[in-house]
Amino acid sequence: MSRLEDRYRRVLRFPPASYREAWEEDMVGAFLASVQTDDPEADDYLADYGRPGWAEVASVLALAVRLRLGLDGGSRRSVAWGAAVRLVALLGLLAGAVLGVVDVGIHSWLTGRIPGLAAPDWVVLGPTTFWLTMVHLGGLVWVVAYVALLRGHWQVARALAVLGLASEVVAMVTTWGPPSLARWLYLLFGAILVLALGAYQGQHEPPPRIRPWLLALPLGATATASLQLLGSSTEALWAFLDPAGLYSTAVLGAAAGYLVARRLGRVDGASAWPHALAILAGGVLALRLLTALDYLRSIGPEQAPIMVTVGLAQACALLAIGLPLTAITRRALRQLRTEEPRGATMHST
Amino acid sequence: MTQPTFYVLTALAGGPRHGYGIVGEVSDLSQDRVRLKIGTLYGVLNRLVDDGLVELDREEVQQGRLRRYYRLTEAGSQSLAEVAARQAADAKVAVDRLRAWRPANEFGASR
Repeated sequence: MSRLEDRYRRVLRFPPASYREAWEEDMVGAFLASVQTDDPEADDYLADYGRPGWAEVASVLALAVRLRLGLDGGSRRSVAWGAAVRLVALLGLLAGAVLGVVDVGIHSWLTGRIPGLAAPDWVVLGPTTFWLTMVHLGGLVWVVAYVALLRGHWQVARALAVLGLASEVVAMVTTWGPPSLARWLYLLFGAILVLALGAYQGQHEPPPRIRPWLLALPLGATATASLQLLGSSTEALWAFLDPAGLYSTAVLGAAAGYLVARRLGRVDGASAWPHALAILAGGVLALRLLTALDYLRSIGPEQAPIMVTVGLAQACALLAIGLPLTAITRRALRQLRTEEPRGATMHST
Repeated sequence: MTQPTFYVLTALAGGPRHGYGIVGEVSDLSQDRVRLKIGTLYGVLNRLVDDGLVELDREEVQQGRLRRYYRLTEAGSQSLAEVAARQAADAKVAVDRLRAWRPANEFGASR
């Protein structure tokens, strides 16, 4: 086996084993034929030193993602993963939309821009710059993206999510000084969300029901704004209400709600919810730990203990609730594997 | 039906072909506008085989490597014919409109 073939076979480890079993040899043969030239010397050189091009690698990675998320059908496990990723993307957009609405609402109130509602006199705001205003308004892009996704326009939602992400980058560069570890993770999650929205191109389950999901936006915004207003008066409560704290509270609440509903037999065992909540619990846990680390490095000794303690407490709670969700998900996926019909996809004539 | 899928089916409508043969044929048919990467081609083939539009024709050993040839099934040929008819109808609508179309400044000049 030439080094080039070996390198290509390494790339082919990304698609699932069942797919490789059926197609790997054929793909390797086609790839090697595609790089052959009319010059035997050049072919020898390529066989030793050649590498699959980026476009070729990207095509295999895209294929692997499509197969693992069941976007072209495939195994029931892959389809279940796809449904969970779509739900994660929907919840991610909902979270962005809620925070966008709350941010614009509170900023408008503090700057006295809500008719009939005076700005509080206990808040002293710095000068409002053009970029700061754009950053606040940029949050509303998530609202439009969320509504677009609910209406079935996932490409529009994805384009708007890219715009929202760009606004986050602008915010990072123009307003918050040197980025913290957690801010990088926020951006990474944003980029993952943009990619995850691509899973809507192969939706198998019925689309999300619009009305309850639309209702979740004002309800979530009202709850978040109320918590933030309450928290602004109490330091102990405020420690729970930084963005990572809000995400933790939301995931913990949703996960607890799901587990109780499951115990009461109110939810479908094959639902994508435990899977999606397990993924979100893992992501928010990482975020919570990084923000705790940031607080240790960046805030004063008077506030750091409470912020770090609350951060770690939420991290423990996320871990505690993430474990049963992961166990439920693993069991469901194992069940799907045992129910999967055996046999290769290729049929010889 | 995506453009790569359309061209893969069209390539196989000309007769059974192996993977790299399909890549070359698609490139020729599309006048180099569609250059399939191997990962893309086998994603399309996997779906077409699963859907029963393409099937294995034969296997040959070439330079010590197994080479599989694929062919269009009856369902594949029917599906391609339907899409081609739809595209031809769409194209006809556009061509008819274009025949009747005059540039805006031409209207202006005639007034």
